[in-house]
Amino acid sequence: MSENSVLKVENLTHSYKDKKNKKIVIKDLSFEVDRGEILSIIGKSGCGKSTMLKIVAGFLSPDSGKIIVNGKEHKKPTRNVMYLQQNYEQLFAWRNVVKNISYSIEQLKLGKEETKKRAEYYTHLVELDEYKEAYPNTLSGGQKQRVAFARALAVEPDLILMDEPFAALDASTRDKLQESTKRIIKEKGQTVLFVSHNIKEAQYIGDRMLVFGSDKDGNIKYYFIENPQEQDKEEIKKLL
Amino acid sequence: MKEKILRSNIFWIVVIIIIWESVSRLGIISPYVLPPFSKVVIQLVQELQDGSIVIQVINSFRIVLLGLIISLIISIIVLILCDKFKNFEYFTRTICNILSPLPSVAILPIVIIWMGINDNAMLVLVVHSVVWPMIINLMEKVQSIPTVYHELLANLQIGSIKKVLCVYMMLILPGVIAAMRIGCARAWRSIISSEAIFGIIGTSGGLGMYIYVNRAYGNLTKVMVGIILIILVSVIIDKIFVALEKLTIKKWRMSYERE
Repeated sequence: MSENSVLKVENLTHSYKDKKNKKIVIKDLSFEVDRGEILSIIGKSGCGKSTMLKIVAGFLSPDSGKIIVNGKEHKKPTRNVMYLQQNYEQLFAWRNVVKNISYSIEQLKLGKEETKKRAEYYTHLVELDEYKEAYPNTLSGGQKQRVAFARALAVEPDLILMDEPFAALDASTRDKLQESTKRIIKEKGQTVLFVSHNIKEAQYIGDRMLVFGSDKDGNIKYYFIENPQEQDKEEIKKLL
Repeated sequence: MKEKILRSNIFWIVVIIIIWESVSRLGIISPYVLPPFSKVVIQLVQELQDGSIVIQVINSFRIVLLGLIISLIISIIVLILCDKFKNFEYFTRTICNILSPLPSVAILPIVIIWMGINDNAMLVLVVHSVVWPMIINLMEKVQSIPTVYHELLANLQIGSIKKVLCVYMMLILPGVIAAMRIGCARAWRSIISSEAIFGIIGTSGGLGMYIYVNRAYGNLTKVMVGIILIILVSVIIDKIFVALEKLTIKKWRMSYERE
């Protein structure tokens, strides 16, 4: 594990079993993610990219392999690895925007003043200052997702896992959020695993791309692409 | 306009009162069997002026309220234990399924033997009638909370007590209010039927006792006064819950709660 590495995934294998069959969805996957790096992950539906994220988050246990975060094995969910889902209906209806964001900070027991200061800062960072007193039922899908993102970011975790966070949003909101999310992540130097089914989005967001693909015989194969922005979208598509 | 009137509760209440008064006054039903509504109202005003019935309402209401609070506290403790220990949930479900259908009147003799004839016995009966369905109801509501919240809370490493008290109870607030509403109705039913069947159990007697005594004296006007008071108190309680719903659920539009 390199000194700058935040996440190391070691020989990860995972399968789903039903009564008769065992379907391997992740097979011997290994990679590292450096501090401040955004690794975007794409693949077809059901290829195991969200499963991999849940394993990294600690919600699922792999059949074999290890997840190492900052040199320590990560087996259970912790505040150090925050997981952000595509479902934006994850806010607390009885808390306004700033209180939703401060909920995660409250768990750090930083004191009232520091919690308030930090919540205000992250509300500002996701450009929701004018909505800080608003309740979730008055927000749009994009605004709700920004609150959820700020809530995850506010814990200042080592790693954020974003599972198709913009999938449920309309195209124009999605474009705006891609831009602002990337800007914020870079501004904070946050390490992120970003799962998407949209190649264009994954190319734009990621510093590096991991493709959950297959070889000519249909076997699971993983491809790593450096500087995805410079790659041809059609070439990436062929790897899927 | 016509439909609006027909939909109104007050319209139908007035219709019932007119029919009630008419059948009694015209002798279709003997006034001894069904005293006229006006006579019941006059009696109600006299009883209220006298004040003793108010004390009996307060006595019954105090036990109902206390029973509801105790049941809610027990339910919350059970939810915390279920969150902490998965096996406790299976145990609780079994116990609730066994005890929930058991009417409180059926266990009254046992409660009297165990607890004696006092307010505590009444309280046990009320808690028994409320707590089991309340636990089942709240457990089901917790299970209907979307996975996204369970994962978020696990991610933020929130402990069971904080999770249940500060998050689950708020997420399932519509269910909590519904459970309290149903619980309240069951509690009233329990206390009134116990008092009305077995007479005085507590030290001072409540509304059920008032009905019981007046039935024994054949004073149906007073029995009707007791029944009307039960209806009035239930309506007031229901209005309180509706106001609570408006203040919370409707304000926040808690749409993700799967009813």
